[in-house]
Amino acid sequence: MKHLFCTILFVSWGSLFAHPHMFIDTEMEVRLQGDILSGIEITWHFDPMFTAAITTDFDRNNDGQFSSTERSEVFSGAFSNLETSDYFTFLDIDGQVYSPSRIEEFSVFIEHGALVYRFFCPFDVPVTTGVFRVAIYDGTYYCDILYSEGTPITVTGPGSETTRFAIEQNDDIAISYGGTVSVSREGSSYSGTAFPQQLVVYLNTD
Amino acid sequence: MQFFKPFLLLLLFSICSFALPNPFISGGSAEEQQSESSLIRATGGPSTWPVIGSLLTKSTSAQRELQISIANAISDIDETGSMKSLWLLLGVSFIFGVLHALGPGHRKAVLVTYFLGSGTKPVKGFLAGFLLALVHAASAIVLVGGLYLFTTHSLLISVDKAQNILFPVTYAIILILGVWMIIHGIMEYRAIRKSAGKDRGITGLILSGLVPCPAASAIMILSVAGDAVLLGIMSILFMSLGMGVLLATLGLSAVLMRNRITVAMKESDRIKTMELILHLFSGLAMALFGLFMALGFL
Repeated sequence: MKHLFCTILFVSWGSLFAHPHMFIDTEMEVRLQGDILSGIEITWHFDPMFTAAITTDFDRNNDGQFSSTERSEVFSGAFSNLETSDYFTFLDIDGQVYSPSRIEEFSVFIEHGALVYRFFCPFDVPVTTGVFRVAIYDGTYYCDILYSEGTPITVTGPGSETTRFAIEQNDDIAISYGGTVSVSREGSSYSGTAFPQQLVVYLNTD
Repeated sequence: MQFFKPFLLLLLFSICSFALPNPFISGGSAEEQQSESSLIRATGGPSTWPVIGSLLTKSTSAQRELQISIANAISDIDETGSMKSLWLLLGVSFIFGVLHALGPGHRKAVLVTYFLGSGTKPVKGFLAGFLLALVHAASAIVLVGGLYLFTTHSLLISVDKAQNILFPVTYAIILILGVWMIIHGIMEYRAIRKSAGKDRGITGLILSGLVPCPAASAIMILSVAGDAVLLGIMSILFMSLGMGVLLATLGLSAVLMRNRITVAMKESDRIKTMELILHLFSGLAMALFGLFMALGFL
């Protein structure tokens, strides 16, 4: 009886925390200027539900494309609020965590039937330690974010030829539930541990 | 003291829990800002439970695929009228409902706490679970469908705003239900009132599910966007059936568990005391849960 009691409590109350209602596949283009991280261009591919919601609301002429006016409306109506969530983007350089306080080059379009947001997060920070980490996740876990299949990561710009990168688990940062959302689809696991999977970029590896 | 630990745990969880708005939906029209990247505090927070995390992450992964299957099936039925896709849609929606209800939220805690505190017949616990799921999902049909017909504003933003009104309303219902359980428990203990009429609280319990399930809202938005409203409604109803299976099982289990606890108390005085304790702790847990959740919207 005790076990049954615990099971009921576990199922009913043991998982009160947030759970995902949106599903995003992400890609990143890391832009370098030597030892300086210029910024990261992020591309999000959304699930059919959010795609339908945004196209219904903002693609007014229903042509499958977003005009500059429609783009502005999507930005203000269904993107800009992410500022309060740091655009789900967290850059770690030697233990200092940065988030983009502005974004540039926001675009929205439909690709293979899915809504896509693309935007650039400028950082312009020197990477004196030769290594930095980037994690993309929604700390509230309303959105489940995974790396896209294929080639989700590219590194470009001067210095990119001597870099290497990997998706690794950072054991130094324990985050709230949902922090493992940025795991690679083909990665080590959907481990559910409290440590985020992050993109780790190593500079000057020659 | 051992007996009270689970209840103390409930209170702790109720304080920690929260409801979430869609982070993409803006309340205003913020402009692209021109400041430098900012240094923020390191992300941190409580460590999580690996077993639960693993299960939920796998469940989330499955829900990703199921949601895509639902969208594809609706599109396929709409275009080809395929009966096979219709059965697929209903089956997938049902499984999606079960998996989705297994995740956090959906009033499972309120349901179980209510029936642990307030005894009733097992069949009522079972039916209450199904009705709660039905109300939780059907409200999405009414809300999204109504907004689609009667609002000229953004559907997504309108739904978000409506949910932000419904959330505190339902938490207020839970708060009142908790207080009602406490008062009812004391009155019963003092033999001021017999147990007749105690099932009235079930109405409040079911009404607490009035806030639409976001997943059901998403399906409804998808279906109105694709001019396939009927398919969307069918999908949501089968999804609520899947959710109902889980909620009904929990409701039934809670009633049976409570009955076993009280039957185990053979002396009549101890039964009365135990019933009072169950009422008070469950009522307190629910009242605090409703209060803290409602305060989050002030």
